[in-house]
Amino acid sequence: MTTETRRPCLTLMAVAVLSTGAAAAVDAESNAAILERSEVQAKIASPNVRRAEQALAEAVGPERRDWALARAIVDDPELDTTEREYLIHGLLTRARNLEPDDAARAFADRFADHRSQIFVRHEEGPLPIAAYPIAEVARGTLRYWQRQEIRHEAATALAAGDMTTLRLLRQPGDDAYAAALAALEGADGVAMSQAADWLDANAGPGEFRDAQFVVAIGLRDAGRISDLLGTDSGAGVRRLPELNEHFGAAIAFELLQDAATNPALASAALFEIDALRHAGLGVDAYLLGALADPALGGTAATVIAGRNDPELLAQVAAGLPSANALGQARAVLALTLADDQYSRSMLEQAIENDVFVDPDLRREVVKWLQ
Amino acid sequence: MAAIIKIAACFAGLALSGSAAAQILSYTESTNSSTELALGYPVPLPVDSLTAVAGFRAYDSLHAQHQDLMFSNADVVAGQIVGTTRQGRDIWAYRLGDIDTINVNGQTEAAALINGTIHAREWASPEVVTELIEQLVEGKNDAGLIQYILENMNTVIVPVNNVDGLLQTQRYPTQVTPTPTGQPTTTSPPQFESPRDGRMRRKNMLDVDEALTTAADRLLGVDLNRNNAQFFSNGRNSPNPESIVYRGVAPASEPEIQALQQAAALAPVDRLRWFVDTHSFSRVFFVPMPPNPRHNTNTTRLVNRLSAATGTNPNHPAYFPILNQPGSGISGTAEFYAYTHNIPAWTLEIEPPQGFAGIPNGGAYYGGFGVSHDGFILPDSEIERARDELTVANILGLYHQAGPPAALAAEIRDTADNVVYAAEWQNNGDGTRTLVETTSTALMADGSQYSLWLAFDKPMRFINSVDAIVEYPGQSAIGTRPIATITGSTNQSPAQSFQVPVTFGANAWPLAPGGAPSGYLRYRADAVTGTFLMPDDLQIADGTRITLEVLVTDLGGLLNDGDPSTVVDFANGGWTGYEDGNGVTGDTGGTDRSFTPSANRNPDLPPPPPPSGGGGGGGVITPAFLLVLVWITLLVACGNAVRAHSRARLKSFESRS
Repeated sequence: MTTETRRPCLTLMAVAVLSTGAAAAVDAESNAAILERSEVQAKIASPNVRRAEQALAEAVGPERRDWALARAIVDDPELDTTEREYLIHGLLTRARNLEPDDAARAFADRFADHRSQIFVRHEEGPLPIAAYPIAEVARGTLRYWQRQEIRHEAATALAAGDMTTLRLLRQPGDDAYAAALAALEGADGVAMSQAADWLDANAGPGEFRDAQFVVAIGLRDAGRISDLLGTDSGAGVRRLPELNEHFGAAIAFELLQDAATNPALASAALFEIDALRHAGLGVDAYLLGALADPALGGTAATVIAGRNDPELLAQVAAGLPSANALGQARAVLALTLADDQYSRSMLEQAIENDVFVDPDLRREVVKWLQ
Repeated sequence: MAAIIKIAACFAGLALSGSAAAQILSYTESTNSSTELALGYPVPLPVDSLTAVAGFRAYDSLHAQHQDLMFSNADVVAGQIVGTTRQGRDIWAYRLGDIDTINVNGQTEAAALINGTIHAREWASPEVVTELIEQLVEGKNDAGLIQYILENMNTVIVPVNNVDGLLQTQRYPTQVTPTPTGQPTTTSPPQFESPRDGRMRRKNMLDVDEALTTAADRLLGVDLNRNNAQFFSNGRNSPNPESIVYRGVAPASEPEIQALQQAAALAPVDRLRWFVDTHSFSRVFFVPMPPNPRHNTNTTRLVNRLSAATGTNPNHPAYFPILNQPGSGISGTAEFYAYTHNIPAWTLEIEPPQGFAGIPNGGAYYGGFGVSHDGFILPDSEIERARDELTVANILGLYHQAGPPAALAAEIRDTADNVVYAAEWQNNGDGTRTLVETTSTALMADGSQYSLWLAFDKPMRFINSVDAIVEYPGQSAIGTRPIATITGSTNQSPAQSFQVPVTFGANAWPLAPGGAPSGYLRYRADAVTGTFLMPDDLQIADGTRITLEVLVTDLGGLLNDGDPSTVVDFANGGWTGYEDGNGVTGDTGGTDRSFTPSANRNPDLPPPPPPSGGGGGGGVITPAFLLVLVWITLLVACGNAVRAHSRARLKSFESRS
């Protein structure tokens, strides 16, 4: 068997490639083997494997759940390690889409700590990596099932007015959190209101952030959103594009201006503000004002450059001579990112007129113009 | 430019519109179907934001951020277009460093080259290298570690090498096309086992349009990390254009690799001391080992230092080095720089881990469902930590490769604050230094206490955010205090050697400017202050030269130069002009015995004449004979036990190093 004949080779390789103090990627005492990917492909293309695969499909599928038979098939001593790991990996992956029962869970659980034996080489260097990371797939399948169950239970509880399930949403991290959040996102208006009350009564500082966002958006609660954006540490950046859709342009503009005062969200907020430019809210004036802001100026310059709007660029260029060094740098950023004939001529003129406060910036502009 | 590219892509799409459409598959957080695969965590989408967010920035935002940092900090960032991609987009390199290219020792500055995003789907890469740019800029006036790096190293960074490829992955952030026919090695869902193009594009865009549905070109492109000369014809690569590791038609055939070489020229190439190609995933360093033992020893030391710097988070294992077998390779960039330029070079694989015994593999490391290739999709929630973790290591690497420390100046004062000895090394501009003594009044061997100020050519200790001297992350074996000893010999027969330890207090490393006697020289914590007691029971002739022995590691673990008269440089994989305590050139450094004040036993002798041309380091070498008319006998203040203890510490320290 390949695994037997290759064991000494593996041991040598493991010693050779792993440097001092490195964790052993492959347990040299095990029956592990490192194969070429082509060898793996050849092995799993064998008629033996095809037959076993067919048998597994018949044993476990939408119509039939004979996990004992599946177990017998993958335990067949005629299979070599590669073939066995291939079949187990495939079955565990496929099982995710089946309704789990105790036998299914027992089957997956059996492999949750499996140490893979067949390795292939990393594409970039001599790190052996499991061809079939069975433990990861087994645990993933168990988690997938668990997540579906918790989501169903949480949705049922929320619909029944039982908000205690929200306790799962205190801090992000696990499957229960993801499941409960998905359930909350699917809740109706009544449940959202109850959830808001529950959160007001139970959430400490920094807790239940995602739930708060979901509820605030679900209830169109701009005040709650504003509070959240003001104290967000960065995860709220994913919520910014939703504001216009849920609150309308005018309120979104106000909320995004709030977000722009939070350094963790400021740059992303400006991009979203730019998306409101057609709503007649004075977005252009806001952006031109932001150009002089040390924290926002870079983003404002970028957004303005992306407009391809000669009038806006003209205003930027007009402010160049009187700006301080940082303001000039931001104006230069806008003009160079726009990179059109007008911007070039403005920069050439600025060089000619020797307007740059910072000689290093002048040097970079000259270089850019070349 | 962008408009032209879009029009070209449109025509390319039309030209190929007759070919079969590729199947489109999607990643989801929780939904599985025949065309969808659940990762178990939200699928990251590119975010428009110049500043770092809890996620991955869109290419246009990253580029704008680099440009903003350049124009707003032109004193330390210089940008350069170093080439254009296959689809005609600019490839930028940024040189981080002060305008002059001369270091504090008068040499042309050393350089490092850091490449990002050579593989399109590895979104963590541009984030990590951009974070390095951001932190170098933020710290430019810190008067410490960062300012030292900027003033003494040229750090050339290519944040996005494969611009076309990255844009293609961000154009389709949740979508891919299936595993090529005949290649799957897993069962369901085999189409997701080795997905190609879209979010999983790895290669450049040679002969590829931007439409994901175009089946005919979805496997094409060159693996830029196979397009390098070393091992091109005999490495682990492929001549098949549809292979995921297609090497191209010739070494450096691709404009992206040519651009990387242009970026190296900004260093310039002959000053390079370090190269990193930043990839994901695996949480390892793949380290080429060319046939140069000295190179390999130095590279291993360096990578172990950086490995330790990544190992301070108890919830995550350290990145660990994997030393490639000598003479084997993949025709990657790291091999090119290691073999061709004999510099430490490696492929950094950002997390998640892959293949560690007992540690979840790929996305499962974060609680994902364990699907193939999910390690390339780092969750939004993890990138901020990864950025910070690796920037700590990269900054250490830059500091380390700037060179080992040298003790440049010493000053000794008595308790009345009179300078009794002052000397400094002055650069001659030819790779050598001359020691200039500006003051040399004899120290009294009568039990007097003296204070010592000793300055180095680099910051020696790490200062945290609350101005405390602490060990650099992961460098716990270094300690915070140097070992310095006053040594000499009696005039007894037979002569007896003596040692007096210099004591360094808790605030030994000055954080305020001012130079001697209590400030730093150029950078915070580049000087150290201590005190010592001259013995009063030692038989010693007046005017005897005694020796200040100095042995100290810098914050990156390099020992000081044993002989600063030759300025340290780097060539062929090793340090030059770097001597140990016996004056032997090598890669370890050792005790510096350059500073030799004189000592008297007779307090009534007149002071020696002041050195001519003194004040401001006028270049006068005060010879030992300035005090030749003076002789007294020194007495030993410290007992034999103290001296023995001091010797033991010194020996122990040197043997450890």
